[in-house]
Amino acid sequence: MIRFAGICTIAAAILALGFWYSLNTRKRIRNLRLMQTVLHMLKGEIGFTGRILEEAFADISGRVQEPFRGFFAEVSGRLQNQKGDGLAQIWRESEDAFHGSGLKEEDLELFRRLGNELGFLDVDMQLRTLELLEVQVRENAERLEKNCEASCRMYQSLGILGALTVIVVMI
Amino acid sequence: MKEYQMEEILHVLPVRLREPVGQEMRKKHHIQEIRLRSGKPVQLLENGRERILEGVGPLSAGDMQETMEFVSRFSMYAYEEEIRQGFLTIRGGHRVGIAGKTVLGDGKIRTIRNISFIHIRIAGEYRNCARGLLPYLYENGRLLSTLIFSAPGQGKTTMMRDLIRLISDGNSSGSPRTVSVVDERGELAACDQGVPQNDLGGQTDVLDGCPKTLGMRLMLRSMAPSVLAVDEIAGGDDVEAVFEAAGCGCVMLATAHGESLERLLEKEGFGRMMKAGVFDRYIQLENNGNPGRWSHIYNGKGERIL
Amino acid sequence: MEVALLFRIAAVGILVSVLCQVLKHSGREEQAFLTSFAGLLLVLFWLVPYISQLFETIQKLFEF
Repeated sequence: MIRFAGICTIAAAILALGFWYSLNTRKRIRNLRLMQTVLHMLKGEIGFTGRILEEAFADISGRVQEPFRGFFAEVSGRLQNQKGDGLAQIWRESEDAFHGSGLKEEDLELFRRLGNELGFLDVDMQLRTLELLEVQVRENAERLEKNCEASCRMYQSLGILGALTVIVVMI
Repeated sequence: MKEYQMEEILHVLPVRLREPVGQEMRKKHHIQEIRLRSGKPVQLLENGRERILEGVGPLSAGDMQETMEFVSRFSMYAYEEEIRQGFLTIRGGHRVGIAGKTVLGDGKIRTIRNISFIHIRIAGEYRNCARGLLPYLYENGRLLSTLIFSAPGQGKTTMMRDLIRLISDGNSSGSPRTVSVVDERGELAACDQGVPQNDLGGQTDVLDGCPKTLGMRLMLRSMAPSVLAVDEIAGGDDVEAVFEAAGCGCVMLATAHGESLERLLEKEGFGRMMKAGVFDRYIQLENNGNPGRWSHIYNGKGERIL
Repeated sequence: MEVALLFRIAAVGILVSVLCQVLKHSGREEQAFLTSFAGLLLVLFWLVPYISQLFETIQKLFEF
């Protein structure tokens, strides 16, 4: 009896894992698109209104969805505190907001570069940096979108097949 | 100095300097300026005397960069124009002057990089320091156009700020007036996100960060002021704009650099303004560390009346 | 030898080959290879006792 329950649990877990992965892929694409929107907004804030970062961040956090809302709210708040931490440091420490956002390390790496390069230089350079990042994020998102359906299906069928295999092996 | 004012200044200093400088300021010393130089120790100006801050050692280039990050609140790009001019204003209306390696383009300063000299001038708010001056600025209940001048660091802006507040709120010599302030350097009002940090009175409109020439015209058109106040006019275009405003029947309040009336009138445009009678009062400040002291008051023809 | 084992090996064979196809289809040749390899090892592992039994039987045959 216990053996049977154990097999069921493990099979269910593997099944769930497959679905979770496929969901994550969708989330990652959504968040990459959001990141693109954020970069676009920042471009507007910096290039057109010339606002300082903490104001721009506060503004953006009011206009985008999670997880960026929470992230920018925290960065903006900590910048306002003026405790003496650098922007790059604050940026890195606020990245906890992206837990469970489906974003992978390589996406975060890209986003982190923004934290390292914002603030210095003149408006032109800032805009160019943002432009570059935006192109990269867009390309990533597009590439993922193209394989999205296929990979989602794959994760799901992998989950199902994996569960079946485990059942067969353990019976 | 109040705690929150002190915070404003400490927050732009490198972290390692915050404690020692904060201690100095808490000792109730009247610190007016802080100078930071790459490779040199911190220098303080208190009560008109320069002295070295002991125990912190020479500053590194990293310290200077840290300071600039804090001063610009990590947004150097937003202060491009200010950096080109060599100074910017931080929260609380304190002015930060900078020098370093200038980058030229088309014969103009494009930007300043490797900033290795920073000069923080602490803005004092001395309420009522201009009160004693008021009786001389009114004639039969009418406010007179006034130019305040002095050598640098004698409290022109402080005086001006209080004057605006007193005129805007009304005082014993005159009723409240609508004042428009064109605050090019953000020193008078010290706007943060468009809201004045300094008390400029209840009937004051502030145009923040706009060049004086453009701003004066804009305010004349849009806010219908009865008094127009600007900081630091320096000849050329400024003078033309002052002429224009005075022609509209506005009472002008302005400040300018000048050690004496003679030296002031030598500067471009000022002689012409006196001839045209743009200003009715010229006030020379000389405070020697004591805000609200003036040394001479001249009438519109340059005759000394006090 | 039980019949159940035969069925089990058959089931694993089918599942592994389908998994392999799915993975290959989405361009993950490496994982596909690893899966089939794992399947092979698994089945071999099951067969080890029977193979050893076979050897012992043969040994006994020649001891006479």
